[in-house]
Amino acid sequence: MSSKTRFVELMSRMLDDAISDEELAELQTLAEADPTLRSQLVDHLLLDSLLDENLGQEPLTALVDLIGESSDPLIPTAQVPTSIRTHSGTSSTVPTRRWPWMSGWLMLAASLLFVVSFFTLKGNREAYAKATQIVRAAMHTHAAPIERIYVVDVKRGETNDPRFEFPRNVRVATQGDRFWVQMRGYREWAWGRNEQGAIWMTLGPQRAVVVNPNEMGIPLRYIGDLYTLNLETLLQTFLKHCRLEMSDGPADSTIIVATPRRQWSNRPLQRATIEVDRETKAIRKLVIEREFEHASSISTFTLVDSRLADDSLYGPEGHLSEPYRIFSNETSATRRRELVTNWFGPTSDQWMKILENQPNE
Amino acid sequence: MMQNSNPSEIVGQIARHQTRLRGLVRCLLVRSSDVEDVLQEINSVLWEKANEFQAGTDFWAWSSQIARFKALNHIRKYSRDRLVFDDKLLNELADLAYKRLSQLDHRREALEGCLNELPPPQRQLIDLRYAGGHAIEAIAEIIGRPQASIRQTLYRVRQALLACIEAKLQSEGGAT
Repeated sequence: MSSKTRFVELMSRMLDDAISDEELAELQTLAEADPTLRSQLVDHLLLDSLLDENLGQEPLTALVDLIGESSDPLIPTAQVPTSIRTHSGTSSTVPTRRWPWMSGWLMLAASLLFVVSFFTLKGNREAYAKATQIVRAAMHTHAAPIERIYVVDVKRGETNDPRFEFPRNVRVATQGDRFWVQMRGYREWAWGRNEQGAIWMTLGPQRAVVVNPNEMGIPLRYIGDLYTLNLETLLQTFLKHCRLEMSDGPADSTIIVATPRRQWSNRPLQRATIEVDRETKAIRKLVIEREFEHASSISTFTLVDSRLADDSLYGPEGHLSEPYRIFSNETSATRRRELVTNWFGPTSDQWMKILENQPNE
Repeated sequence: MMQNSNPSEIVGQIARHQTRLRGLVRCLLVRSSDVEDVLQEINSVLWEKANEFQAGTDFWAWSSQIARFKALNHIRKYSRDRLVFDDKLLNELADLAYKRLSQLDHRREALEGCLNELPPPQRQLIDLRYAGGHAIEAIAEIIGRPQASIRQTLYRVRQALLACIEAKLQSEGGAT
């Protein structure tokens, strides 16, 4: 096999996201040795980018999306995602030279299949574009300084560890990409996450602890995964990595079902269903089906209230009364775990793990 | 005296240059699925550095330098757990990409015409791959042909599209 033929084979595999380590090394060697092959590679990569942009379902990125929704006259219409493309002027003749193995009947069947799939694809693209528009509108609505409160119901799959018992009354307040959670059960407490992914939680009216991501035990990680509601990130994920299907919902709402695309791996999300109010574009209900390493779950967030956002509640300070103390990195993990266990009881002793070489130990 | 650009102008400029920025990023990444993440990061950085852009100067010259730097940084981070090109090839690809990117908008317009001229079975393949976002295995299942054959046909369709784009640019005098 000539090096050019091999290069074409490897480049095709790369463009189709199916290249291995060894093949990539081989592709690099060939490209480095021959400037015409490098040039060919760039041509194909740029074409791939244009095809993705023209036909693909990837939206423009967040910044552009949000501004685009505001109908900024500075943004040319050519920059609007081009998922809706009419397909005109194509020949209806199936070129037999390309498909020599087809008999007449097969040709007819294939043509019919093509006609059906063509209109299905076109219809799908249009439906997808509408669904995308609604998700973007919801993002826009939830970026406003209005806090929305959702009641959360969690159903756990059979694979779940029965040791995890969570309070029945959980409310999540969210604004933009921020959230905080109120848990009512044996104890009433609030928690949220900071920008580094650490969980803060209140232990009564005058104490709170901060648990870093690497200190979280499985139960706390699970709580965090189930109730975390970074709406903006979540909706971005739907736009970037999911197929979207739209249908009419109850009482002037639109239902959008988001299913991860095959190429998107390493995610717990199995499916999400959102019910968007047609008038306000607020999310009335959100159902997230997820498969974690040791457990599956369905979390349902139902909108129950809206109010002006109070920034202080998105950190522990807003939930505490003076004089209060927040125990974070400067307090040893052992001490923080002790505080957590004292407040929630012995079943919470696995919420924090103590790392070897823990500073301040 | 030089003036800083206002935010809405920067946003407009970022939006206008998405095709080129995306193209530049794509030329440096092995996996197309990583493009959106890197592009998003670049857009955020451009937005953060908006104050540094002087109104009336060349936005592409300014933004592409930032984009190249940011993309290469990202790729170095990716190299821990993903397939990436080595540094030497990356720089050569970036240099080549810059030469092509100036006419990318013309190429994009030409591509639309070329897509409409594709015979239906070829258009169907391209739609399945890019509009449907299907992997080769899925397309092979849908169409009922071996993966190798699908991959080969896709390559031929891409070659045909490139030739068509070149021809259109030549006939319009847009090629350099």
